[in-house]
Formats: sequence, structure tokens, C-alpha cells
Amino acid sequence: MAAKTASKRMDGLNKKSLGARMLEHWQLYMLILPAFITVIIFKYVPLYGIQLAFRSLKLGQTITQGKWVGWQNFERFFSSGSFSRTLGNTLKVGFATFLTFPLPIILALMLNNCVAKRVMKFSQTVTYIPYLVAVVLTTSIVLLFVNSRAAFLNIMFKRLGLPTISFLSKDKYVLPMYIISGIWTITGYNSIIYLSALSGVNPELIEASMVDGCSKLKRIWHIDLACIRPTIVILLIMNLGTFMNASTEKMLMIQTDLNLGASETIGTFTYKIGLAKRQYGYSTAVDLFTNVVNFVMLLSSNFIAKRVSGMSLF
Amino acid sequence: MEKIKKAKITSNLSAIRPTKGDRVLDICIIVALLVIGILFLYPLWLVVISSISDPTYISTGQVFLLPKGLNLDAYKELYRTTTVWIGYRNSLLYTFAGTASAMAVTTACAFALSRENLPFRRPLTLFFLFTMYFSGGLIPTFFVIQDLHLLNTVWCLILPGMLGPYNLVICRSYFENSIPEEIYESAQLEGAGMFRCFIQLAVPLAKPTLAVMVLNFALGFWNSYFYPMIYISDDNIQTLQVFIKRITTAAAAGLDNPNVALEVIAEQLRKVQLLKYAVVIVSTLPMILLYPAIRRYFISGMMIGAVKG
Repeated sequence: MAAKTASKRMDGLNKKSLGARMLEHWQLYMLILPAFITVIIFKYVPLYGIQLAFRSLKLGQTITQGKWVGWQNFERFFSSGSFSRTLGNTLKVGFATFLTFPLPIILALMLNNCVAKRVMKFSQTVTYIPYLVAVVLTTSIVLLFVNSRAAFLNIMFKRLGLPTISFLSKDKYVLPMYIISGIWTITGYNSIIYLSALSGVNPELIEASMVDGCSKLKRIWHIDLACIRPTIVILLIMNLGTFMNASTEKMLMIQTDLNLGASETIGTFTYKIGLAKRQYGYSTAVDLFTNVVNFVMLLSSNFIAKRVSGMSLF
Repeated sequence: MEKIKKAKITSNLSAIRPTKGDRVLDICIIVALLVIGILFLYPLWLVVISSISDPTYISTGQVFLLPKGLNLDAYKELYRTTTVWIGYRNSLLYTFAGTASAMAVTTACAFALSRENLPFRRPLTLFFLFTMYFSGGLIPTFFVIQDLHLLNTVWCLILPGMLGPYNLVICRSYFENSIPEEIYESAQLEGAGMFRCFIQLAVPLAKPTLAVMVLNFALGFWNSYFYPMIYISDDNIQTLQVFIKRITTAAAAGLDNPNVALEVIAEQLRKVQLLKYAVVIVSTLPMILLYPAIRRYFISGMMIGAVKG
């Protein structure tokens, strides 16, 4: 009887108008308000400035005072020699970063299945700590290994009787330096997200599989990996949405005049033409191009994931 | 009959005692983790020993496993470098103020968005998530900061970072998945509003995820280099990372400048050689100190879920 009246009351609630329901939740909206205002001011108002991409702005002019030039900024970018080079480099970095995506998963699976607890703790801590080191400093650690004839790697090469290498002055070493330092920084951190998901694996499943004589390797493959699939899909989509965002900070620091051929990415390029050369319209156009590519990647990977696996970020 | 019994026994045994294959796998995992650990640790170790070794041994490549020419000159020199301490003070203030405000704003928002019956929940969530993937870009954002007269103030580093979309996702997932709905229902029956539910129930229960968020935010503020470099030109409010970058590249900049005497450049180069490694240690220390306090919350606090609506 009581349950019936309660459900009736619930029905009544559902029939309330949208306005009434919103009013009922006014406290929740108040909790969202500060975040809402922050995001409007610092993220959405700048979107208004995207029109800069279609304008040519002189020093001292405000955004709307700039002359309207249509697609000219884009045409300039697409037809310039910088286009194929910066886009190529950005895509290369994006793709190579994408290839490192499974590493945190493998690390998490190993950590989760390690029987020696001390080894597990040691590895987890040690792989996490690089994440705490600032990019500025990570780069100086990279330089410690490569920057001169007396750097660590070159000394090793010398001892092995190999010729020494001038890492910072050749194009072909940019990508390895970027990727390896990236692996060092992020693998431990990302593995924790997977460990977190692995902690949700039902222990009964594992017990049942043990009783059935399932080997550990099979268990990792069929239970662990299956259970963290949703997390993998979501992180994959999130990563693809930043495919074009090669870290400008880090690239600027690895960059030397001699390796520009491989280290000039869209990010470093917009930085230079925008803030150093003050070509605001041009820089914004290049930025907008990156954003559109990223967004398309995000939406399509989300769509494909939804179709193929039934899982998606949104 | 006998066979079945035997099979049963062996299967029971295998449940307790790992098979040969499993044991091989166990050993492989342990060895692999040890190797990975050492590979990840070595660069840090090299920095530590380099910071307390004589620079001449480093530049001739003699420092590998243990410090050579043990001394603390680098740390003494660092102690005398005033910009480092100004930067340290500023970065601590930014990190503290920034993390506190970001925690308040982001957690409140995440809580509200985790409530299933909130009208417009999904559009609101997507509204915040959108900013993770689409932005006005460098120049338009710069203009907004400029028009608000925030350039060269402490606010231009703190205010834009008050909502972290990534942390919002983590926090929302936690509220959604780890705190049972019934808790709020019973609180509401006793007359508690959503404000009280948030502060007195949700926040204390979400400790693991909040701990992880604190570390994420603190790291973001402490290590930020690009934005302070662009937005701030007043050295009194500049951050540590910018000063460090300046110290380590000062000599290179001097080389291009014909007005700087060679002796000055040589002196700067020597200083850079000396300070390079000590600076890594000293500036990473606050975060490394924060780490153990937060470590035990990691596993339970870092869940990422889909955006349901």
C-alpha cells in the first residue's frame, strides 16, 4: 500500500513541467554555476575570436576591426611550404604517440598479476614518479643523455666502439627523443587508470576460472582484458581526440635550428607566427584547422566505437 | 568414476598450487617489472648523482652509477640564486590557490552532473567536455585574457584553470559509481538539501578521487610553463619553471648577443653546468613529497567512465 502511494507520487513527480523540475534542482544548478561561468569566459568567449582566422589584424586593432579576408589565411597556409612539413611532422608525432597506447595496459596487467608485492610496489612507484617531473625538466634530463659527445649515450657508444652521434642536430632523432621521453613520463600514470578498472574485476570470476583449470595467461586475456575493455575504448577515443596536439612545450625545447625539418609541428608553428611574429589571423587559422581535425577524429572514433563495440565516450 | 575423482582433485590442486606454466609466467612478470623499474629509475638516479658530482667529471662522462667528486656546490649555488626562491614562493602560492579553487569549482560541478534526475544533465556534461577538444586557440584566448586586464596578474594563471574537464570526468565517474543512491535518498527524507548532501555526504565519501584530483591539479599548476611564459612578464610574479628554463638557457642566449663579453658567457655556462641537475631535484621535491600521502588512494580514485545522460 505504502509502496503504491510512493510510486503514485513518483508518477506525479515525473509529470511535473520541465520548469518545475529545474526549480526543484536549483541547488544543483548553483553548484554548477561557478564552473559554468569559468568555462564560458575562458573557453567559449575565445571561440568568438576564431573569426580572426578570417581576418587580417594589424597591431593595436581589436578583433572586429581587422579586415575581413575570407579564406585567405587558410589558402596561405595550405599553399605554403610549411604546410606539408608541419602537418607531416604533427601527424607523425600523433601516430607514434598512438602506437604507445597499449604500453600502460601491458604495465597495468603485469602489475595487477605480479605475485611479488614488493616488486609490484617498486615498479608502480618508479614508473609513476616521472609524471611528477615538469616538461621543462624532462627535457633537461633528455639532454643529459644526448646533448654532447660526453652525454651518457655517446659515452656508451664510444665504449662499445661505435661512432658518437650528434642527436640534436639531425632530423631523424627528434621523433625517438620525443616519444621515448613521452613513454617515460606518462606510462606509469596511465597504467593507474587501468589498475583502477582492474580492481573492479569480480573475484568470483577469477576463482571460477581457477577451479576450471584456466592458466594465468588465459585468465589475463579472457577476464582481465575483457573487464577493462570499456576503459580502453574510452581512453582510446579521448586520445584520438587529441591526435594533433603534439606537445608544443616539449617540441620547442627539443627544437634546434638544425632539426627544424622534423621538429616544426603545427603547435610550434602557430606559436612562432602568432606570438613571435604577431600574425594573429594566420596563427588562428592554423589553430582552427588543427581543432577541426581533432574534433572530426573524436566524433568519428566515438561513432565507430559505438557501432563496433556498443561502448562510447558520449 | 575414478577418473572423474582424479580430475577433480587435480583441478582443486591447481586452484591452490599454480601450474608450471603459471609459475614461468609469474617469474617472467617479476623480471619484466624489475627491468622496467630500473629503466624508469635510471634517468632519475643519473640526475641525482650528477647533482652532487663535480661538473668536470660529468662533462668527461665519468659519472655513471655513483657520484664522483662528491660535493654540494650546486645546491649552495642554487641557494644563492635569488630568482629560484622568488619563483619557488610564487609557484607555491599559485599551486595552493589554484588547486584549492579548482577543487571547489570542479568537485561541485561533478557532483551536480552525477545526479541522474538533473534536467539537461547530458547537454551540460557535453558542454564541459567540448572544451577538452575544441578551443579558440592561442591568440583568441590571449585576447580574452588581455581584454579582461588579467595579463601580468596572478589571476591569469588561476582563473582559467578552475575547471579541469579531465578531472571533472574522473570525479563524476566516482560519484556515479562508488556512492550508492540510497544515501542521498535517506538524507533527503530527513530534510537535507543538495548542498548538505554534497558537503556532508558526497565529499567525505569521495576521498580517494579527491586525493587524486588534488595531485593532478597541483601538478598542473606547479609544472605549468607555457602560459606563465606567455602571460606574465613581471618577474615578481613569475613562476619557478620559467626561471629554471631561463637559467638553463641563459648561456645559449648570451652566445648570440655580441654585446655580452665572452667571460660573462663562460661564467654563465659554468653556472648552468653546475645547476642543471640540482634544479631538477629541488623543483620536483614538493610534488614528490605530496606523492606518498596520495598514493594509497590511487587505485580506487582514478576511474574513467562513459558520459551517460
